[in-house]
Amino acid sequence: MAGLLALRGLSRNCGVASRFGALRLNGLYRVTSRPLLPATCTQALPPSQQLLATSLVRSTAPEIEQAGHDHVLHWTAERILTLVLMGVIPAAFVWPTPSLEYFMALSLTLHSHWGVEAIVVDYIRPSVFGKIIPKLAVGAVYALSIATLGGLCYFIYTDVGIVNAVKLLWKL
Amino acid sequence: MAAALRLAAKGCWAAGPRPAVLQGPLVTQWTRAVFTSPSAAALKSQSAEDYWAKNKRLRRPVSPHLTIYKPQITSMLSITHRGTGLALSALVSGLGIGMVVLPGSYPHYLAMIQAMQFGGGIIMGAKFLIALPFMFHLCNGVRHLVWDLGYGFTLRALYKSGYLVVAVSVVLAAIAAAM
Repeated sequence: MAGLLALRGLSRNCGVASRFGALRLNGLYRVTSRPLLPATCTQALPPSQQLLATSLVRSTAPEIEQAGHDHVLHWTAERILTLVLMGVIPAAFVWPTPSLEYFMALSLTLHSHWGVEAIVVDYIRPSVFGKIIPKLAVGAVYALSIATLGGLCYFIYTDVGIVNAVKLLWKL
Repeated sequence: MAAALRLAAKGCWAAGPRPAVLQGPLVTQWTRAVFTSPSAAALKSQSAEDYWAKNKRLRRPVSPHLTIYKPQITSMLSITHRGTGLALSALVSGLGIGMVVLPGSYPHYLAMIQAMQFGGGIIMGAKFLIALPFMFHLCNGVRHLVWDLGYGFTLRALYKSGYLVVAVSVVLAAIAAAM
């Protein structure tokens, strides 16, 4: 849902809004807001009609609550990184220089970090795991990504490097 | 209870006098509801409880979802995209962290695998199994980027592109395995 809202924002900036006119997405962008009746009004109703009145429940989505900021920049950065990664990996195989290897390791780790973070945020939710565990889980993802990047840089520096690792494995 | 609800919905005089907000044609009621928000006093008198806390308190059961929904190419490819991404991430993290933690060098461990003398078929099979998640994630990733540009959201296009991604992934993985 957040992604769709971001997409709308992106389209407005990119000037491709006309393309969205052709999409059959009626109803997907509408943010539903249930009409809230004042309490005094509800109490005056007979019990049968009180059942029909909606109660005041916070209807904000948890992920928007947790984020507290605009997701558009992050979303855009993710797409740009994907394109960069799709270019860097073949480039590193064609021109196996150390600088391209380090850049590929960085792009790979960042792409993987954002992906795993999204998975953890999606499934390790406060409504299921409480308040502390989700935060610890996200912290663990950061630790894993930092360790991975450090390990890959160590591997490139001291050992054969990522591209050679794949090439040697494939020669088996 | 059902009869009372029906009376209330029809707005019959037998249900009793109704407040102003529920009077008039439905269009007027909806317009009134959209353009009025609860007064500050009304908001204070009712506590805003978290959705999950409220339903937990009322001990309401959750409707079945994953157990009853028919698997479709849309959802199956989506979760596979996530799964392959996770697997590839585990591979990359395994390589990075493993090569720091383990004592030997990469050629050392390669020699260990070579010493196991697997047959050509097994090696090709293993290469295919490694290449397939990567190729699928790549192809489906392109499909995602096409969506992000705004194309391909009709049901026909979704199904066609889905099948195309699966076919191209298998072909690319087979080519990689043969190399």
